[in-house]
Amino acid sequence: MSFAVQNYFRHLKLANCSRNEVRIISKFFLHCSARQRQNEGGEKKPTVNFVGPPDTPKSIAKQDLISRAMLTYLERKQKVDEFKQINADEFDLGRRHLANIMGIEEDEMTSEKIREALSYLMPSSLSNRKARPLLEPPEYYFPQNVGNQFDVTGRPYHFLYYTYKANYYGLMHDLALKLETLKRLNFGLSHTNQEQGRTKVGVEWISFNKFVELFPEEKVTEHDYRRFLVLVERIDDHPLGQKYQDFLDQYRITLKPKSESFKLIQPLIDEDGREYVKNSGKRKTSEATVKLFNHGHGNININGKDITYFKDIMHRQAILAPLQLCGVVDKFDIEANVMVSAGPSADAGAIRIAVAKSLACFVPDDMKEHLRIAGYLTVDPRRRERKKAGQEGARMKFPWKKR
Amino acid sequence: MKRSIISYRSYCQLLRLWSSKSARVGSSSVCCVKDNIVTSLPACFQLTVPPGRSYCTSTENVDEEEDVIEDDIDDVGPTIPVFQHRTNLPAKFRTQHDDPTKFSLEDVGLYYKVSPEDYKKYIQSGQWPGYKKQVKTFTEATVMVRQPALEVLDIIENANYDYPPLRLFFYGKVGTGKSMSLSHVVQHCGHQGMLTIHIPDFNELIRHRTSGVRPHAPSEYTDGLIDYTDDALNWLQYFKLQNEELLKKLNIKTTKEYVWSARDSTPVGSDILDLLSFGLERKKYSSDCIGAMFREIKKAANEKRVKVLVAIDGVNGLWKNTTIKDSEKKIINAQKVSTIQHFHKLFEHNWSNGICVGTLCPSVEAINNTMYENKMDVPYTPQYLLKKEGFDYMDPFVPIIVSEYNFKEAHNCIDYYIERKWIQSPRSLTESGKKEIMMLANMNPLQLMTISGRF
Amino acid sequence: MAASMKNIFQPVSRLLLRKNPGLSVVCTRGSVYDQSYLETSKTLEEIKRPLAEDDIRRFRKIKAANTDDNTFADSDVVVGKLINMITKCGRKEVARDIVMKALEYVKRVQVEKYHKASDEEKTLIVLDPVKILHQAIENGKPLLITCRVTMSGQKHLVPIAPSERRQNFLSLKWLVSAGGDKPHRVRFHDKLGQEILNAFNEEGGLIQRKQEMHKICEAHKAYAHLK
Repeated sequence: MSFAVQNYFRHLKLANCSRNEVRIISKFFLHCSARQRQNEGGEKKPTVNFVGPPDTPKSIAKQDLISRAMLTYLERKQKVDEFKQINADEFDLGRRHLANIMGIEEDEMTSEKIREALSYLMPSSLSNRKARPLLEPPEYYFPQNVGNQFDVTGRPYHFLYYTYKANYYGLMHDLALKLETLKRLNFGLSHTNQEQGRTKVGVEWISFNKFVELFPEEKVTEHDYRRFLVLVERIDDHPLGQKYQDFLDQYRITLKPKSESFKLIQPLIDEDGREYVKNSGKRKTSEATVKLFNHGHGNININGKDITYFKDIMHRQAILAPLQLCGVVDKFDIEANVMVSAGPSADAGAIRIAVAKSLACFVPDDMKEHLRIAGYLTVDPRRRERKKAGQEGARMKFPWKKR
Repeated sequence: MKRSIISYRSYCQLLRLWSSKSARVGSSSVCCVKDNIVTSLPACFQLTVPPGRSYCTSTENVDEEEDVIEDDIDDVGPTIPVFQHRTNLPAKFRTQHDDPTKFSLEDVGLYYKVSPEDYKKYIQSGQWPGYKKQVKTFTEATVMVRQPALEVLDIIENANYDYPPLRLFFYGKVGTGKSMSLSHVVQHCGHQGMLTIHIPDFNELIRHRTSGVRPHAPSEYTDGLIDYTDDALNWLQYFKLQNEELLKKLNIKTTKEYVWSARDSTPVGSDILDLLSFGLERKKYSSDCIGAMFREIKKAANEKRVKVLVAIDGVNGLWKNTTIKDSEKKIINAQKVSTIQHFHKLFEHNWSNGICVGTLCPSVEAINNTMYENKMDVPYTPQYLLKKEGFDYMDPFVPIIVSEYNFKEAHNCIDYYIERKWIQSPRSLTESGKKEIMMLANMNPLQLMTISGRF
Repeated sequence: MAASMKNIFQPVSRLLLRKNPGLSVVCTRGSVYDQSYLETSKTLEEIKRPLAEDDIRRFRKIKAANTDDNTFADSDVVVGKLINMITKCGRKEVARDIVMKALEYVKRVQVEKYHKASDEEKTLIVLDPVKILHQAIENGKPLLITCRVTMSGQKHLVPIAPSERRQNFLSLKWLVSAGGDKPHRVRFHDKLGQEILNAFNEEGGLIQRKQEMHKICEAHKAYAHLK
């Protein structure tokens, strides 16, 4: 407590009181004097945060104690509350109108029924669901408040508030402390105690998108995410990291093996009674649809022509590659139709992927793994790179001249 | 394997070794050899074999007791895999005799060997250039017996020779074996004593030459036509090669006096061989010699002294444009070249006791033609290739299609290549590997040859 | 990596030594694929081998295969590398044609030799052109190459032992350049085939180039301490 206050309280013979007691008494005094002034209707004086000699009148009304940050927060909150109320009213109105139109009672109008009604009354063919007509409660559109982050005096609750990413840095501090404890425990122990690195395959850290969802209202970047990964992997690697595995399990995902996520298509039956599977494939701008017939003899039909549609042997090998891998080159028939052609190599790639996808429906499980590992089941995302300004082509530059 | 494959005495011994191993192990699996490591593939890569097929590609039946196989191969780590269970039957792709005159339908799809003299006479020129290389590497010349050739030979046997000559043309896609069938027919007729007039390759008479303009001269006998001097001389040499012995036996005499110039003339009653030798000496008059000879031959054929076979490879070239220009800078058609006109006249109806055979060649159509970059794109039907003029001229003719190999022929072809060591990789020695090669090449004979060079 | 990125990844450098680097380490500039995609296996052996329990390929996505990758009997990794080195201006069909014709030339020469040889010699002749190519490249690998080092303003050539990758690359490159040497009237694929056969028998342009390199290294033996 300040010197002035001690002087003040000396004539009250409170010198032997403890610090806490003095604090409480001083607050009580301040409160009473403020009350008195209010009742008298005293003048307002500029706010000063420390207490001086009793002559100096102090105005400690609630408003004066509030800091500028809190003021702006309160103003904003008021506006937001008004805005929310308007939206909630509109939502309610809309909901009642819809119920009226559709002939359903108000109480039974759930959000699912609202969506059904809208898709019936206002059908739209836009591919992005969020661009179609919507009627949702305002929580869908506006982020919810996390609540006050200040207390009455204007001080923030979280000690890292001024970093703008309080929860994120809090987490990082937490992890760093854990690492330090591990280091202290490990100090002096011989290196033979170390276990091998626990590289579990099939378990991964959470992805960046999910990580961002853990900290709403904070702009967490990819750089932050990478630093988090570094720390977490370091704890995991530590020989005594077993201690914190439960804590770290919050941030882990178990992966499913990719072989389970394959879509099986049931084969259809032709007019002549043959089984077939129909699939399509793309590569660059080529598109092709392929029918793969079971119990065939190795006949190939591409746009009405034989395999001589391709003049290069490499392209012919590309079409037959998935069949050759499984050893069934002469057991299936292929009927392909290339709708859009971007050149022979692209055509071959498009037909190959369609053949591989259809073949995986006829073939046992371990063959599917082989097809996937060989890379025949993934769509090739590569496209031609654009030319840039100031350069000859995509990568080639103009000749460099010294002068 | 710790030992390399080279240390074994023969390829067949290797196979026998592996089969004996399999008999002990009791399993048959397909292997893929890579350097010194041998791995075995899982059961899904196996295929069953029809019982008659085996992989010993020598044509001799060798007993198993003859080989002495060292037994220290047991110390190799993994079990040596085996291709397939082996029978003792040899692979059959050769005919039992080499006489081209005595083949029947049972021999279709089998190879017969051609002696070196016959090869030079009948079969060497006119094939695609890869065939020459093949004969050099395999150190033997073989031809496959095919059904269209046998059909033509049948017609030739049973034709009525009192009427003017029949016209038989082979047609088909590029690389299916038209020139080969034609040369088989020519060889057969040559052995039977017919006089063969054979242009092996019409491409050479028409195509553009980068080494310079084809040597030509205005014709001596007729105005308005031109002669090919060098080409006529080369052809006379070829004709001499084929028919010299026959002509010596036949004794055909000239019926007209031919006055070449103030100093040279051949009198009446001289031998045809004199005409030939005169043409070979004097380049200037060689194409007129050809015309004179044909005239005599036609007369002799009419009197039933000689049977004649006319074989032209690329008949649709008779109406094409050459690359030689007039003095007025206009391109000359093949109809205005006297050397070619002589062959053209052989198709007329004024003689008998002969037969005309030919092929309709898409690659001749593709010469100097800006529409087609690749000869594979040209349509192969007779009406398109002959065009209106040619079709009207040749109209009553018998077209015979030469199609691609069927399964049996392709199989024999690949077996032959394996025996001659042209196909090396161990995976293509199995049934599935052979099927892959056949599918990639689409059963086309030409492409089978080029593609199997990669395996 | 750009200099600015170095500061960010310094704490991360120890993770580069791991077998399975986490997602934070691998950086892909200009690649269409995400960081998490894995490379395909090219040869039949690798594909058919059963996956171990903790194999990472069970759980991750795999890139798409090129049009050139297949498991037919004539696809070989070394031959593919040679084709890539001969391509110019993206015309790969021309390069493939050349290499296949060169290997065919090798095969023709050997098969002719085989048919004309006696029974004893027959077992000693190698017929497979791919094996001959492998052996030729082995023979052409240099054991020492030179490297430029500037010490006190002067540039010296210092002999060092190259890695296996570098040896492979140099052998292939010298083979291609030897194929383009004189005489100029001979076709490129014929000359290449001839060079491969010569290298198999330890003679010819490729071996000459390797021996020249060895000689230079001998001459500069004194500077070996600089590296």
